[in-house]
Amino acid sequence: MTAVEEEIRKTTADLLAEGKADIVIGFAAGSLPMRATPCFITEPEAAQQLVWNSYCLNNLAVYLPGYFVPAPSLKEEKPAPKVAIVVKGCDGRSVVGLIKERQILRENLIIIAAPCEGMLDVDITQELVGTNEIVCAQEKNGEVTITDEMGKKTKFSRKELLAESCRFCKHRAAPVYDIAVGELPQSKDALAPDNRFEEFLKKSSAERWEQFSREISKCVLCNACRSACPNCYCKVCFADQTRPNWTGSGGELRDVISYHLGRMFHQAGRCVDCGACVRACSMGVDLRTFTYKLVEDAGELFDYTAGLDLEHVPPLMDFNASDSDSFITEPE
Amino acid sequence: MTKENEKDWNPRIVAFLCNWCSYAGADLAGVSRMQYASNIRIIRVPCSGRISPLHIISALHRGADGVLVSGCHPGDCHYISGNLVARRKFNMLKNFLEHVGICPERVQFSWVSAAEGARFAALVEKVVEGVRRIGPSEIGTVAVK
Repeated sequence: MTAVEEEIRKTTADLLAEGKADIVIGFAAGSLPMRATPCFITEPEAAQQLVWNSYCLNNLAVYLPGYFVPAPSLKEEKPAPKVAIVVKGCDGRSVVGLIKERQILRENLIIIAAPCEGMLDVDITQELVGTNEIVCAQEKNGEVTITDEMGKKTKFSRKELLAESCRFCKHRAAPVYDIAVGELPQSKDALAPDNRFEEFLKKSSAERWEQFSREISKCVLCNACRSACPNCYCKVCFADQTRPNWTGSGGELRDVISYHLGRMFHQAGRCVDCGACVRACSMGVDLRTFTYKLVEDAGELFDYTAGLDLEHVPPLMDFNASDSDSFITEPE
Repeated sequence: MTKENEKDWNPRIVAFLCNWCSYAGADLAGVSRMQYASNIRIIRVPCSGRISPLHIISALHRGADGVLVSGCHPGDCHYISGNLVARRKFNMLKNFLEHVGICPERVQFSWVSAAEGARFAALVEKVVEGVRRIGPSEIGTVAVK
C-alpha cells in the first residue's frame, strides 16, 4: 500500500501548508510490529510520519468531538479548528453519525477516504503464533508471513488474521468523503463471517442469559469500551452519575450487568459495528454477540443502517405513526 | 430467592404509568372497585416518553421482578407525540433485553387510556401472572461476582 501512503502524506502536507487544515488525524507506525498508532500532526513536514497499512485498526472518529466542544475552563470561545481525518469505512460511518448528532461540524472537516480490505489484529495473530513474540510481519498477495523471536516463520492467509469486526464488514469504503486516496473498495461482501451471532440467537432464553452473565462477569469496569467508542461522547456518563446512581457502586455482578445493558443500549441505531469496544477490552469480553442485535434491529424494524448517508434521521431521533405495535402486551 | 421458598415469593413489579392516560386508568380501576393483584408499585410519570431505558434497567438492577410501562394509546398523547417517540425506544429495548436472555414477560409495555379501568385491571393480572410463571428476576438473582 505504499502508493496510498505516499498520496496520504502528500495530500495532508498540502492541506496543512495551504492552511486548509489546522490538524490532521491519521496513523503513524507503532513501536511494535503489526501496530499502528493514532497520530496528530500540525506541521506539513510531519506528514512523513503518516502510514497506511493493514494495522490501522483504531476508530479515529473517537478523537473528533473533542475538537468541537470547547473545554469548560476556556472563558473565550475559540473558533473550531479545521480538521482533516484519514478514514476507512467504519471511521467514515462514525464521522457521519457524529455529524448527524451535531457533535462535529461538517464544514470544518476534511474527510480523506483511504482503501481498506480489513485490518489485521495483532492479538489474534499472537494467539495463533503461540507464546513467542512476533518480531516481523510481511504481507504479500493475501498471505502474511509472521517471523517470531526464535526466527521461525509461519504463513497465514489474510483472512485468518482479520480483526473480528472486519470479518463481518460490508462497508469498507467511507460513504461520505472529500478526498479519496487510492482505489476505494466497491465490494459489499463480508470478508470472512462466521455464524456465532446466529448460533446465539438459536439458544433458549436461559442459555442466553447464562452466556451473557458469564461474559459480563469477566468485566473489570475499566471503561475502555466506553473510551474507545466514538458514540460515547457524553460529558457525564450515566455510569459516573451518583444522583441518580443508575448502576450501583460497581462491586457486584448485577452492577456490572446494568452498566453494560445501559452502555450497549445507548448504541441502539447508532452502532456502526466498528469493533473498537471489542478490541479495547482488556478482558476479552465477547461484546459483539450482544451489541450486534441493536445493529440488526435498527435495520429490521426501521430499515436503517448507521452512518451511510447524511440525510436519513437515526431511528431513535424520529418516529412514525405507523411504527410496529407488535411488542405491546394486550390484556386479553 | 431459592426454589424452597418459592411458595412465599411474591413478585414485585414496578409500573411506570403516564399521568394523563394510564395513571387515570389505574385510578378508574380503583374507584370502580375492580379487583387486581397488589404486586405492582406505581410510579407516575408525565408521559411514557419520559421513561428512559435506564429507568427500566435500574428498576431491574434494584430488585424489581418485573417492569410494566404504560402510556396513552398512539395518537392520544397529551404531548402529541411522546408515546410515539417512546414506542421506538421500547421496541428496541424489549428486543435487546430478550436477546441477552431476560424473559419477555419480565418487561412489558402496553397502552391504557383514562377510560380503560377494566383493561388496566386485566393488564396487571396478566403481567403479574406472567412474572409469577417465570420466577424471580435474572439480574436480581445473579451470583455475587
